[in-house]
Amino acid sequence: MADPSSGETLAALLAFADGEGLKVLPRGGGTHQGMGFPPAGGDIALSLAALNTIIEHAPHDQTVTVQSGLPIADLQAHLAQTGQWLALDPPLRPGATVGGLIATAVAGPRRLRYGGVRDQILGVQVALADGTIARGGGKVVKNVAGYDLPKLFTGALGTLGVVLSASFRLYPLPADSRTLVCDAMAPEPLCEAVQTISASTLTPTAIDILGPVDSGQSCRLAVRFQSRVERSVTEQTATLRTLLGALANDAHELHGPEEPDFWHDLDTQEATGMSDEDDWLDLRATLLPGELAGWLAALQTVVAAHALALKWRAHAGHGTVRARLAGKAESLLAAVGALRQAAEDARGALVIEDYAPALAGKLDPWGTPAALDLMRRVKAQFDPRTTLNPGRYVGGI
Amino acid sequence: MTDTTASPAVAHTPTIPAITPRIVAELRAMLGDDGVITEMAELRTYESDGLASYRATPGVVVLPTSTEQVRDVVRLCAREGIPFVPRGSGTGLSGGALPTPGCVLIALSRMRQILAVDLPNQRVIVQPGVINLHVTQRVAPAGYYSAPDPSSQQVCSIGGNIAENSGGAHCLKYGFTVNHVLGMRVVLANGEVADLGGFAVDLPGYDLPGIFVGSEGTLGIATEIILRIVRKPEAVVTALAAFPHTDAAGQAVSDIIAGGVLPAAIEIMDRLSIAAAEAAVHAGYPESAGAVLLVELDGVQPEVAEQSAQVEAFCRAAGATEWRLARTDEERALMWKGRKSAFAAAGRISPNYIVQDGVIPRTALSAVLREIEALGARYGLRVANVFHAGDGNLHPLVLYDERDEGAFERAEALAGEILRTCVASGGSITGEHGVGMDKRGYMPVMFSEADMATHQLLRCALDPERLANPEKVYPTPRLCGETPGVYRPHPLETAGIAERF
Repeated sequence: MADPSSGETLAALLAFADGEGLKVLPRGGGTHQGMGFPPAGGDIALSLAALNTIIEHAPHDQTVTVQSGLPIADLQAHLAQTGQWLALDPPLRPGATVGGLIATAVAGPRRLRYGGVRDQILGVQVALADGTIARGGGKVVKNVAGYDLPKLFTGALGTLGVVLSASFRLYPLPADSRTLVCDAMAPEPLCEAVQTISASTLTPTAIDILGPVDSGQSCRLAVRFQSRVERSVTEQTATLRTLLGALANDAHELHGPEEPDFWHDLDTQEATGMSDEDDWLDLRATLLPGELAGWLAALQTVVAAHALALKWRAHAGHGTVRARLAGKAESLLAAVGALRQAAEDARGALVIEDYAPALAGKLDPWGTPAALDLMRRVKAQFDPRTTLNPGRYVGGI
Repeated sequence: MTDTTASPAVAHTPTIPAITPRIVAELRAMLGDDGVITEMAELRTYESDGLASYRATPGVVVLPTSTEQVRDVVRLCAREGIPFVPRGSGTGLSGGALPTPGCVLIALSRMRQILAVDLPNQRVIVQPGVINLHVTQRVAPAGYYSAPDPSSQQVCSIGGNIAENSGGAHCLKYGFTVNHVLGMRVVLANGEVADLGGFAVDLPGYDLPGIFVGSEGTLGIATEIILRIVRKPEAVVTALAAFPHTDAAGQAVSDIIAGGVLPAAIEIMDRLSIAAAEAAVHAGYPESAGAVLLVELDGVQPEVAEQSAQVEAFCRAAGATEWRLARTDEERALMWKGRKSAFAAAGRISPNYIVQDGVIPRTALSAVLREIEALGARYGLRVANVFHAGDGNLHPLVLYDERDEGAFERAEALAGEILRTCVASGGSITGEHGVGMDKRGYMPVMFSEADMATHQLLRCALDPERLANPEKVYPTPRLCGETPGVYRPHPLETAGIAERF
């Protein structure tokens, strides 16, 4: 275990390991260690915990530069003091760091309004396996000088280099929030409603569909409006009720403190899941929004056919579904195969974000991207001796 | 601007194999006679892009109409070791489409089809020669538009937008080209066809569309592009505020942003650029003003109404002498016309000018403008300023008269000094026009040797022979296969921190 206190020391350590043929497993808060294949080797666990400072927060420029070991919760607390936030809201476990967020590029419900990590990262400083320290991008919100290293390192799971620090653009915290919640017996009418909302001029920050809820077979639609203008939020909620028609008859509105609690609870539910089953996995499908209903129908069918337990949540506005499946190992593996095929047939993709240790080595968490061969060539340039996170990434990169 | 490492027309690339009659015949067999240009007079059409001070003649120009034709041409280039340079509409302002002398210039102007429109999923698939505005025109009847809107959107192509990662006035709120490209089919420099990204977001694997967009044609050629389109907002308010000077206008911008308002666009023009725009297009800007602020808010009606009132209050508090709302689409279009024609309009107040493109942190605006003014005085030249104030993207127009002895050289030097000022303030040498040929000499102002060597690992991965637009972006090529200067720590230094298990 290494815990370097500066980027230079970290880079020196990498160069040493690279030269000696030692494999390095970089880690932030350690909250996504289950992502990807099990590493094909690991001599040094490289903790970024000591690189945890806010280097520069320029509130009037709405930008921030931080070291990558900084916990996201600490960053958000700091930014909130000036009424700002890093507009990324993936489900977080305690300790999750900025560097981990960059490496995994996991997205939450409000990706709909703000985009993902790739859309908000402005610059990075990285250490390559050979000890080179390099910068890409910058700290201003607009910049096209040079290849976009920040995007390359976003979602790369630490396989190309270790991000030492990164710059992001920031947004003002919304002052008012309101969420309309309504239930239906099946996902289809709710998916239809999402298509109606997407084709309207409403500007929700999140549109989620959840299932199954209330320990039954029903599903729930939650549409969130947020603004610094209160009237925008109340009027949009009213417009939405009209748009939803009969679906909205039993809808209820959340505002005040219960509103953020509702969304917070969804995140923590997702994190805890179902623990009393034999085996489990967490999958993420990314789909065209119009293909959501079809894929959710496949999900229900596959889960029923294999007698699996299921909890799912769709960030329907941007076509991302997270689901936890639990049951027998062989049933889970068969289900993943069928669901990945359904996602790919619908021009989407399916990855396993986490899974029970018993499934290790039995499943491909990533699927095969069309450009896998190009990705291998990129890896071969940045980390030719496969020092960093060997074997964990797509295609065993 | 002058490249500090090489004169414009002289490439320091190795000797380029000649385009022999055999190669021309092969190209004609692939593309037909009308797809291959070899006449010197016609080749001259392609000798520069929007940055006319750089000129070089291509060996041959080809006009493919499909991915397969682009692939065949590039395969031939790879086989013969001939560099190729892709070109969209040729409106770029950094010399990105400047031919490498003797190259195969691949003009994509015949690849103009919108291949698919999928409104429920808010996606379109286009060929690279499609004009930016034509995408919006195609989906506008259904209430959608394509967000990136460079000022040249009536003529620039999507392929060019991809090369440069083009922005535009509305990118503060809606992002750049890269935020709207989900996937693409590309022809790599070895003639391989690859699909990067796809239709959905957050696909597994490295973000190859993210690095391909903005790579200025140096990693290959995009031949089919999956673009996101967005819903037209319910309400749009466009307003103009006049200020006595740019400092006051800059203060208003800071106050608006600090007040939590995110305008769709927020632009400043200074006294000289106002005069130029008025002379050119009669946009009705208040000519006595020292600065004009153009602001556009969009979204749902109640939000736009309230924020419009807030913005007016911020402007008046910062010293606005006039506040004018566009009441009709015609008035809105006229307000924008003055801004969007600002570069061309500089010709009305100066025989020659250089369009510069730099970025600063927004809060450095006043200081940097004063510095630009002082620089102008020192060089004896006027500088008109137009900027996307919300994101700190400056477009200083350095005015000169080429008939004056040494004026061009002074103008170039001044334009370069402005870039150094931008970088010193924490900004960038380019916000949207790209590095191209023009600014590669300034890359070292912003990036170290190690930075640039690292960036170019991407080139080594995708184009190790350096055939795709070889001279652009980076001043010195990294030889692929060489290892960078490895930092070797003292063993004791490492022993203290590393503990094996």
